[in-house]
Amino acid sequence: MNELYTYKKNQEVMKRASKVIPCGVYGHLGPAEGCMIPTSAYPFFVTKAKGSEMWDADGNRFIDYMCGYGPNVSGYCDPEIDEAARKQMDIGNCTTLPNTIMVDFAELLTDTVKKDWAFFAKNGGDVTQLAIMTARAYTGKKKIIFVNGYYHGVAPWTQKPDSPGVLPEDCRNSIYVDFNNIEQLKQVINDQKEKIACFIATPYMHGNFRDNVLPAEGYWNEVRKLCTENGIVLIIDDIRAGFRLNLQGSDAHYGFEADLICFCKAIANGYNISALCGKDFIKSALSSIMYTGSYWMSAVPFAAGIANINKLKRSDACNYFKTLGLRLTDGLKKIAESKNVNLSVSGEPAMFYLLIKDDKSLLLHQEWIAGCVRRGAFLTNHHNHFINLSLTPELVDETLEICDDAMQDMVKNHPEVYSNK
Amino acid sequence: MSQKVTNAIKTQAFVNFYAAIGTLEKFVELDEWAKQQVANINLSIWFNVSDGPDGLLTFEDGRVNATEYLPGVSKKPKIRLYCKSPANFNDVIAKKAMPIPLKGLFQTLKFMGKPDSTFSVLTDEMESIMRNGKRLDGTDEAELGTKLAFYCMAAALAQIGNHERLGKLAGERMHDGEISIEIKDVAAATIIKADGKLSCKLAKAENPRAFMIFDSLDTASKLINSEIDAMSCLASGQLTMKGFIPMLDDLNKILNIVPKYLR
Repeated sequence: MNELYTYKKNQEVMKRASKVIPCGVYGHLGPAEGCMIPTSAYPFFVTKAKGSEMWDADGNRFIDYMCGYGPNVSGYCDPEIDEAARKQMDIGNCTTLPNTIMVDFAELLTDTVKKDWAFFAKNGGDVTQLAIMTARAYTGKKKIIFVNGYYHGVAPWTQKPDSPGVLPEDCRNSIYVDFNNIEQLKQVINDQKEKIACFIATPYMHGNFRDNVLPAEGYWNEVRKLCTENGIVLIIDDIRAGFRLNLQGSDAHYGFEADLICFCKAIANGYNISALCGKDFIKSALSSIMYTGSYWMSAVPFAAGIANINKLKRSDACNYFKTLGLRLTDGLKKIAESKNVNLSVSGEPAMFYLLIKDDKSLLLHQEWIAGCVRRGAFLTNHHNHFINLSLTPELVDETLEICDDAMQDMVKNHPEVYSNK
Repeated sequence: MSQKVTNAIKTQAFVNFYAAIGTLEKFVELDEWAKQQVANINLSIWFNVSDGPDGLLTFEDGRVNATEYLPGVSKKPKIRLYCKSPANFNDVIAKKAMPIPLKGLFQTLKFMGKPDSTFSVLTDEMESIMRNGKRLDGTDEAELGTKLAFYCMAAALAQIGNHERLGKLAGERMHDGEISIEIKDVAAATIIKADGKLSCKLAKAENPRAFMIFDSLDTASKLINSEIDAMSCLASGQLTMKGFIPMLDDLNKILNIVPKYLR
């Protein structure tokens, strides 16, 4: 059995952090939103990362399946991408006028994702917000159709009216439907057609605490048709899945075409950039909107983005993600079967989601994942995972050994559940 | 605006009955002096609040229990106290008004009509311990004060999740099941979501789906008094959350509202 990791230095740094930073580490990288359960099983800070591995403040090594929650798509500290970024840094980054490389990147990106234009910002939330504003400017309508279980960032309009800091008025124009439910969508459109500006959704449901759900046969084509017939702008939030399922975008992956599509995480392998891409018919509506930010035209991320997309194309990346995702998840399924553990694997292999379903409280799942982390496989409890280009079959096999070991321990600790199965 | 005020007043009335008065259940269980005060009292009081909590407070065999009054199901009360509105009931709790006794006038006067009546003495003592960590005579009771404040908070959570304008959103959204709220090895309460409603049991959960566990009385005290926040406690390991986290997400949204009603 592998020795279990401890986190003395991590905890010391967290103590310092908690004094000067709200929550110590806030948001999805932190212990609360990141569902680090129990927190004692997790590191909080890294000191270095390379490829698919990272080392925490105590020097513990992890094979990382969270990939910075998505941005790490070609491998941490990829020499080719970092070199392109460094070269750009030497000749200018955040300048009074944008560098010509912005246009180079826009041309490459629009050609890759088969859209007519690209608008650049920094975070996913910047471009989901812009997509909504663009749809409203174009249609002159105000309501937004969301899919239940959605996540489109942290702006007030994306949250629930009882979230701290959010006003009920912020959510007044929200309509909620279930994924894969065309009849419900038809009903909503029929009832409120004159008020609906847009339908926004991720290409498949990669939410938390439940199995991830792929689109039913014909679902997206039917949504596309309904949106077109009723003057509703179809927005795909491809921030998490973009460049992992299909380099042309996840709308292409599922055989339809979005009017607007949002990209961020995997676009530049961790260099900070996001993009809203769209069709010509809506470009002038966006042009009428005043929308900008201090660093949105910085040149270094454009250089990194060009190098990253070219590398992904050259490497047939999405097929590789699928192959390694299946190698890992097929292996995990076999391990679970051998121990009579009801492990559910859902979603796309490149972004697999795991859930042990032997108790309603999810405590068994949380115990298993904590065991994996303390043995060096960085998985998270209730979020999908990510495969990146630097992951190797050898690292996957090492991960399977760790997961097997941790699951064996979990099963042994719970004879009340597993002895009779 | 008036609707918001009405909702807040109504919520306050439910919190006052089930949390402020309801915590008497634990006070007489945990404190020897309080136990003696009610040892020989067998009495049930129906707080009949128009458009508010129809609550039954029962004193029986040295125990106290605050439950909903269910006509035909609940034991017949010896005292029936009428309040014309939730605001009127809140004034009664704040000792600014008296309810109208519709039944048991003399027992009412004896039990709660004067500052030295049993009910008044009990609630004054409990309030002092919860708010100041001291008895009215100045004796230190910090530990008991935190325990009582913890139970009061748990009872308030359920009422706010059922009645408060924003709290209801989280309460309605919450999945069915039990949440165990604990001060490790010291105190435990259970929030139960079933049949579209939240309820609170001031005892350990039997079959919890989710857990919120404070590592010490000190942590619980600071969190109840808003000196620290739950998210920071998670990072420092002072608070453990585990199990079906979406239930705790909703609970936390209600928890954020609790201080407004327990001032």
